[in-house]
Amino acid sequence: MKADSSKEEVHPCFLRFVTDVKQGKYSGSSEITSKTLDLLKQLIADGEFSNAQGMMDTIRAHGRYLHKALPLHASVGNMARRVLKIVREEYAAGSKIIKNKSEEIDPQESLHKIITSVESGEDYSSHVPDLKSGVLEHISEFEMELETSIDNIAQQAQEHIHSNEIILTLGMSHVVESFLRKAAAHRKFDVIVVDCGPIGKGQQLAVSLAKSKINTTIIGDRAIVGIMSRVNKVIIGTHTVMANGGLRALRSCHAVALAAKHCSVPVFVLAPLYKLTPQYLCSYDQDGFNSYIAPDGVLDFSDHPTLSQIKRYCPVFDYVPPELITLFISNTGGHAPSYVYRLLSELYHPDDYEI
Amino acid sequence: MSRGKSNKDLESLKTEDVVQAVVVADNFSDAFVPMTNDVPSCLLPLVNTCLLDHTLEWLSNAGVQEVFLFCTRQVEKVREHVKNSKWSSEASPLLLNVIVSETCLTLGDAMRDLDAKALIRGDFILVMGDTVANVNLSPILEKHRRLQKTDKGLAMTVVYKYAGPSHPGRAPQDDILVAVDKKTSKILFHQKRVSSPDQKKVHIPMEIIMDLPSIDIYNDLVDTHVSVCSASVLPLFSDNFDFQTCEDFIKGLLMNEEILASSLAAYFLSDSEYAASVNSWPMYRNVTQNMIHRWTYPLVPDMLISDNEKPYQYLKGNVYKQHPVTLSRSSIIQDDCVIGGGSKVGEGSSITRSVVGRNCQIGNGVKIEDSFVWDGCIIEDKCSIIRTVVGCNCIVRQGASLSQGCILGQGVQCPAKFECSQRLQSSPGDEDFERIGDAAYIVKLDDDESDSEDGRAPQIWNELFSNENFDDEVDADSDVSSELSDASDRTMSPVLDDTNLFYNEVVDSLKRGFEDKLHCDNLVLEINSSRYAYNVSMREVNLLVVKAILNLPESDSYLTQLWQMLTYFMPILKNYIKNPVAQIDCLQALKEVAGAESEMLSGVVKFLKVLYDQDILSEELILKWHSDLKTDPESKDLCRVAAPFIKWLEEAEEESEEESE
Repeated sequence: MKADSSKEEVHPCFLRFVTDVKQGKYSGSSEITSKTLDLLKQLIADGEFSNAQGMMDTIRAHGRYLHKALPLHASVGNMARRVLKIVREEYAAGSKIIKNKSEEIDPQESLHKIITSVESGEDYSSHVPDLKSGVLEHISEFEMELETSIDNIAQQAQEHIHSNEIILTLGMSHVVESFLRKAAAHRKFDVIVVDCGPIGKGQQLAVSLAKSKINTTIIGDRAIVGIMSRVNKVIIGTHTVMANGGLRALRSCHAVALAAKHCSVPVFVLAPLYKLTPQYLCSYDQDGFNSYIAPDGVLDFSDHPTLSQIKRYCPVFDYVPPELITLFISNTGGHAPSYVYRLLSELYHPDDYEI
Repeated sequence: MSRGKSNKDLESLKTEDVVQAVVVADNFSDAFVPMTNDVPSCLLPLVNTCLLDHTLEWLSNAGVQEVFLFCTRQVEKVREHVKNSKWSSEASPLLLNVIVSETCLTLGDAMRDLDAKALIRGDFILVMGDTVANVNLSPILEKHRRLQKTDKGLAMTVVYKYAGPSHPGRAPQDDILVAVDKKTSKILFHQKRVSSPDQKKVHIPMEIIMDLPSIDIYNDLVDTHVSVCSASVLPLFSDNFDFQTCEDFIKGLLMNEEILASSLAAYFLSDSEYAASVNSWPMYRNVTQNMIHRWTYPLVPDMLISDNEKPYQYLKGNVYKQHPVTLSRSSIIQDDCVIGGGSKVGEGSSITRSVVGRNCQIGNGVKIEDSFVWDGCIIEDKCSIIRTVVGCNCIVRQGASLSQGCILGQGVQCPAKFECSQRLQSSPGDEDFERIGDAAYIVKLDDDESDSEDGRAPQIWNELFSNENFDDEVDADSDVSSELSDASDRTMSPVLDDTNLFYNEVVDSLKRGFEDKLHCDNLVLEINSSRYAYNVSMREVNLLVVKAILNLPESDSYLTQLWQMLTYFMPILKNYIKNPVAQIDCLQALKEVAGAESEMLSGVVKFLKVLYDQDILSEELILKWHSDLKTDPESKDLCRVAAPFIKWLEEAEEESEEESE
């Protein structure tokens, strides 16, 4: 593969991946994320790059393609950002060794250091030996981190769930499922699952929890407010965490969070780090933020006398503002919503925010 | 040996795995005239993406790997479009093969051509190039294969969607009634147009109801024109060259189930699945609306990605805007609108329930309602465009008012202050259409043709297209259908209809045969093939052939002509009238014709004599026939006319008896 033509050419694997995602061949966002990382790793392993700049251009082009093709799967763009960051780090490390400035390397990057490194990093054109192998190794480490992220979150369950508590959750989320199961191994508590309409699959979660002997109740969306006063904690998963600490989560989440605020119930959000995205919800893009699906779960297509009379919207997501959230639980521990910006700056390079 | 076998297994597995689809890039009709004058119907834009791309997008999403695109008209345009699209890129999930056959005039021709080319290996999916759908095909294929295991003759699984008789997603010409075996989902009965008020009764053959424990009868189905076909479908089309449409195919298969040893199954889409074929203007409008209302999700404007297209933004009120759109501050875009990229909307203009293409210039104070404005149009100030389709690159001059089903073909320049509700095209065409501007001519649909083919078509799109109100639509529907049933009163049931058609065909062949002095053997062949085409029983054939011969001579010199024809067609008569049963039919025909035409009466004796002499009719049957006639008061004349011959016969018999004694 030629590095300079990579801007126009997208690797066929990526096109297939996009089709597969659109066809719904992957079940959850964690699967999509790890597959993306696989593809990017493959891209680097297969490619021939004269320097870091070429490698980054290729990754960026493919990342941009994925981001454009799957605008709602923010984690896909996040993976490209992470890989870019890895390349930058490896390049910085490698070039410093070449320039024999190793004595100057400071494990803690000071503000001064960051500024100077940006200056030197303006061009990533100089040749760094073993850049590729370094990057690939680094990515493998990151892959490990991804794989264990759900487990890492579940490990913290005991710290957050206490005996005889009533936990409310909604929809179906793999992270929440394993989190509650892990806690149930040590403690006894009750779970209330909000069904969340035709797309939420709350019943699926309820069945799974009941099988692992957790006392589970399923309720309809309309009962959220009524039952909230009895709830000790709300624990939900999310689709994406925005840069300000707001959530793009399954619809009804906003209602749950508001009810929880009203009853002063803490809201915990389980979010592996790959769900953090440097995007904001902009006021002009309120609707582009969401995804609207066919209204078939709510109304019948054949019921045309009704359909001709009414307008119908079927959003998939809710935006939950950060002030309604008490705590994010990521694979590295608990963070307040106001701390998300700091996590982001650790995860991604500022130049890569706009991919 | 064993290795060879395993190889074979592998191969069969491989062919099984590749899902093939045949996309027919033509609707074989002129429903979209004048738009289809220089663009094939599958390249017409629907919500700013051409229909073919919608179809291919769906197929690739639905897991189809190989597509045969069958082109018949304006092949070069289709080729070029495909070449420039993402489907021919290396990374395309579809393997796209373009097949060209410019001689095909119907779907049947296309299928026969495909059969001759032998490209299809196994089960395949047959869709039209104008399908908009989001159906996952794998469960349908699975069901088809499962049914195939129990029913080896399963030829086709037809995909239906539920929608009641007055549902707007249902074109009147697509009204069907289907009876399905509940257990095996086999289609037992299929009839078109049942919703007309004069035809409230439906005739379902008794044996269907008697034979099976439970059947489902559906009146609320829409044919999606999507079907899964077994490999046997193509040869079936080849063997029965009268199968022209899918309709013919279904009908033919149901009628000759035993002969063709094939059956059909039905598949019903769930509510979350959408499929429709855009084959008329009403369907065009309806599918557009459904897409805007997101029934076709994920095939909606803001989800479509293609590398050279800017993304769409989805806003409140089902408004879709493609980047970059320039809207003036006082313009109003409301309710179910799509605006293509690069378009500009001027001050004080309002757009409601409409689709505007890319790079359109819309002036100040323009009103667009329930309309479709395609790419590159210029609409000048103070125009009013209501319930209209404006083709690509049209110019509508200041103050023009287009309304009520007006359709402007590509490149029409509509003069200023012009009021119109007709179809316009940019060139005068072959028939010198009425000129109203530099590049604007009124399209006159050929009356003769439209009468015989589909006389209601213009009416339908006018009415369906113009009425936003659904109640009106239903009324319009019933008007149309009542007119229709007036015309076809005589032919109430489809069986009778076929017999009539067969009869006409026989008359035609005989007439031609007599004039061109064709060999009678060839005529017999011709009649036999028409017989299979219309599924006419042998007895009816006998009856109708004799009838045709008797009706053939002109009335002025009836007798002489009859004589000539009888001698000429004698081999045909001999071929058909072979046994006593056939003779009875022959005499029955004579009775019917003689009862209807007075000229015939004078020829009866001659006819009987000739046939008797040629040993076609036996004596006793003639006598029996005559004695039956005596009891029938209606054929008194015939009885009287035939009497001399009968007398002669009786005498001859006596004589011969005497001789034998």
